[in-house]
Amino acid sequence: MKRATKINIVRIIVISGFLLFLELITRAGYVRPTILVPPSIMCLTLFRSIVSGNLTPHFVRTLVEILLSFSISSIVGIPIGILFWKFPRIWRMFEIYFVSSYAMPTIFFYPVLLVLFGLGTLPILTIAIITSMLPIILNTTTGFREIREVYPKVGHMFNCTPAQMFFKVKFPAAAPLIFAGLKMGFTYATTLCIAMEFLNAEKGLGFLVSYHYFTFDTDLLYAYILLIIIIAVTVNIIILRIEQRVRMEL
Amino acid sequence: MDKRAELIIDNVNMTYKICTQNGKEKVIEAIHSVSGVVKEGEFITIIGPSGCGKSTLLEIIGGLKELTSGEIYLRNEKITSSHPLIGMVFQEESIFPWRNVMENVEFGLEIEGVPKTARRRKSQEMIELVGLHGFEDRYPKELSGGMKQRVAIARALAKDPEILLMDEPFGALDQQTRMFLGGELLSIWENTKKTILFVTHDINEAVLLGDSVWIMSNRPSVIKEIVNVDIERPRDIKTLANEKFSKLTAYIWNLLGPEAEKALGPHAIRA
Repeated sequence: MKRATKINIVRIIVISGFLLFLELITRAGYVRPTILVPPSIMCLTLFRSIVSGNLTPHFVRTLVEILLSFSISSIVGIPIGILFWKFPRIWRMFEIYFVSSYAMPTIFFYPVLLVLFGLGTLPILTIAIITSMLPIILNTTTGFREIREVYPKVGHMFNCTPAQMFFKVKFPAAAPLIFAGLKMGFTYATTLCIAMEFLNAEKGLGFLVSYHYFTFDTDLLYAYILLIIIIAVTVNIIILRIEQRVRMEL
Repeated sequence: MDKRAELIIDNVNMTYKICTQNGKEKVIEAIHSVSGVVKEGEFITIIGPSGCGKSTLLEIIGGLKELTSGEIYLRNEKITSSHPLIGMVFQEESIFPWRNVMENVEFGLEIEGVPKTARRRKSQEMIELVGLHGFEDRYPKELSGGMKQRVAIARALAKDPEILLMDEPFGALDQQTRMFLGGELLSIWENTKKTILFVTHDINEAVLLGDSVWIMSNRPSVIKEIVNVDIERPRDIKTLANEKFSKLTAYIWNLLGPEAEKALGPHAIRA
């Protein structure tokens, strides 16, 4: 515990030192305010925007998009991953497409989907789901395939039923990799939702950033970038906590 | 002292097929008509050259592998799959990393549906038996190799099996830890009166622990000889200096040496 608090203290020092540095160089006029605004102004602008209620619909829109695309890709992706593990032949047939589509920037299909579905959440959700589902599927399959042989043997020695074997032995054994996949999937969902809002949308945090970017409103631009960073960090901490808790309970 | 036969291994054969490089199927005979009788409370050690099928024999008894022909009886009852009265300790790390010591030990009882308080009580007893008191809440990554194997032993014992199969349980540990744990296993055995089948490749360990040593030959494995170890109990590290001990180990090495050489193939260098 002592070491963990030490690490946390160092983290806080590094971050506040970095913010202080930004504050100093912007206040001292080394960097023009059109390029970078002081962190204190970012926070203040963000605070004002939150209080005024201007931010709320955009925030809600982005949050819903991220959560929806992530939930769908997990709910569909994990069973598909299990299917691929149970039927390695199907896996061998599709493996090449899956692995190579990793390198494919799915964002290219956004314009096509915009034409098909129109401006709204549907094209964004489609791309975010497809992209974030990939690591979830791949990691689930790998997680189950790489279970150490001895664990199911232990299950057999204790006469586990098939359900016990799955939920008490195989799933927890595969869980670390499945979770790594979920984390990656979440990151993809978040990044893609915001990036596509940035490209073309009528609402959302990504839209706000691009809007203020094109109108040279640097204060608000950075305020929203800051907000996105805060969201990303918070969500990651939450996922880590859930991961620890789930592992305890399995 | 006429004890009843606990486990009878009757003419067990095991073959399996492999694909050779040119795509042909080849039948490998892993075990060739192995028979043996294990009496209640006996400590049997099984030794043989590497790859001779000693682990396979244990896994067949444990119901993890299917035999091709032959029969195994537990107390006159033929067994065909994993029997609740048979527990097993594996060579590799087999305790679950996502469960702490207590949760690992109570795994078997949990699967059986034993209520929480009862299984906690039983597991606590087992944890104390293997000397891990105070480590109940630790996770496997915080334990040493020897401690992990103690957890595996406690987990197997928690369900109160009659027979404990041990597949080179201390094989991955260093010599000192192995000898020390061997001594502890002896006292656990004396306290619990279990029947133990213990596979090892270490002659010293085989003689130190066993009432009798089954010597297996190279593949296809047969039991080449059963050596009775008539060294008085209780035994401990001091037994290693016993005159009978060195005679027996030398005798077993003479039997094993040619087998080990065969196992290594035609290029083995004569020592």
